[in-house]
Amino acid sequence: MKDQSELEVLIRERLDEIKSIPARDPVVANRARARFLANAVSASKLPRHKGWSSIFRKEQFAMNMIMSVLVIAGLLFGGGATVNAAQNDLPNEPLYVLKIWSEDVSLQLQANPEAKVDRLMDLVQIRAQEMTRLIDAGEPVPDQVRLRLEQHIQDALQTCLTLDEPALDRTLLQIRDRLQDRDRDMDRLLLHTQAQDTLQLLTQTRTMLRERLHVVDDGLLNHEMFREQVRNGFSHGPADDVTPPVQNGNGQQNGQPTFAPGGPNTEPGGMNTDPNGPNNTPGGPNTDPNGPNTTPSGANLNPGGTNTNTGGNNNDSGSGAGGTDNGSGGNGSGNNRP
Amino acid sequence: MSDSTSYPVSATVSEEQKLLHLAAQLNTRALAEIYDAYSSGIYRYAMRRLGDGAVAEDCVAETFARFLKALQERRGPREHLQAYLYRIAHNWIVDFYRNNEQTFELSEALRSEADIPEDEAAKHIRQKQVRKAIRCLTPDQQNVVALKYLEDWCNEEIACVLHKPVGAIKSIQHRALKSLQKLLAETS
Repeated sequence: MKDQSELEVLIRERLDEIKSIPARDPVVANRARARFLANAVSASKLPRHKGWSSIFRKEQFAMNMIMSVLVIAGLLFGGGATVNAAQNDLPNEPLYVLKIWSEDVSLQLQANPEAKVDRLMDLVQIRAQEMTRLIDAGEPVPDQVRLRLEQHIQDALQTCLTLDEPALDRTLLQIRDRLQDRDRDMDRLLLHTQAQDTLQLLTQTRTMLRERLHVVDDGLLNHEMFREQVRNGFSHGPADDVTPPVQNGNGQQNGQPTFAPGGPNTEPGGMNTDPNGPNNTPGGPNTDPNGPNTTPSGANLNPGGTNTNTGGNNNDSGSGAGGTDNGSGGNGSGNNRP
Repeated sequence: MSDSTSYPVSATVSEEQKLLHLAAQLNTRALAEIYDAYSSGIYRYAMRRLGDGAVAEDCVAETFARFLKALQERRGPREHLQAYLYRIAHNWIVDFYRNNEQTFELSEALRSEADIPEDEAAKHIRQKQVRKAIRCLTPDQQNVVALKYLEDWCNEEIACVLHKPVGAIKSIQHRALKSLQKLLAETS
């Protein structure tokens, strides 16, 4: 016992050598805080799945068993056919949810990053085709399609972070070609569209595509810059307007970040924090909550564990800014994949 | 913990639960409060283990990004928020060293001690030795050593991070000290 405490004292002395650390750079700290809060704001605006997680809770074990049996039976006796049939469905059709689900599953099963990017760009094309078919049928294009298209591109660029240099070059070229194709699709659709809502949606999509094309073009010239840009997230619209909060001498923030130009943020120097409060702003700062470690599967599976895909849900491409609504997420399906 | 500044704003369990409940709804004020309460502690923890400010900042950013993502996916923590965040940070650091061991050591070596006074240089070398010795421990041992001796956590708090009983923490700690003594003797 005595040995143990002596050893502890000895080790403690050595460890004390790394205990004192230089003060944190307040500018960097403030920037990091503003980025996190901007991510939090955009996360709060994104639609989230509701109720899925409760199915998997321990206390509902019996229900789980029944569900599992039903799902397995369903898959064995016609699940494949149903999923197959769903592939042609549009957002306003009943099996569309199944189509989205099967896409997500196919992505989850994709271990090779290059193949995953390829698959994601296929999905971008599928979304564009859905837009075309809806417009041809005179139907409105739900925003969900645009958001998902944007998410696929985002995920593809995130996946690129895991590639080595030659593979990154190849993949960026492939992404560029396919984004150019989609850009042309949008041009074509814009010519044949009359509805104001759809026109706006297509214009937003085209703007986003061109911004991502720009990122990819730059990335081909400078991989490091590309990686940095993807890690830090993209700004779409007024993201640059996020200003870091003022900090006093003690390193304590005096207020919340402000998002200018102003929407009706009801709290001076703060955010609209009423969970049920109205958000009167058409769009918010669009930043990416992604960190550098983007591998979707990894060894450590504990909560928030290592190697989890932190791929963001940077779907908000609204062009407005201002109030920072933090009402709880909506009920959209398919836009918030694990 | 000895450093009172690292304590969360939400000092009580019920306050923390309330905060977590709001955070689960992605309430930005709650998230800001959580960030303000824990980010500097996480930074200090990362900095002590990594010895590099920029990488420590990356660790903080990634820790909170993963936390946010977990909340979005409705699998965020329901209790022991601090333990949860430190666990993410620890996992990130272990991963970081696993993936960047060689490049990180090289960049540390390139950060020459030639430009700094002799005693500072000696201190740097000793610090590197200590960090390297910690890295050679198992992930659990690393975590116990870092939280117990660098962050001054008690065994109960560490047990929350590692999801292990206090007895197991004590035994990990005992083995870690033995290994560390051996490793430090070797590196010195």
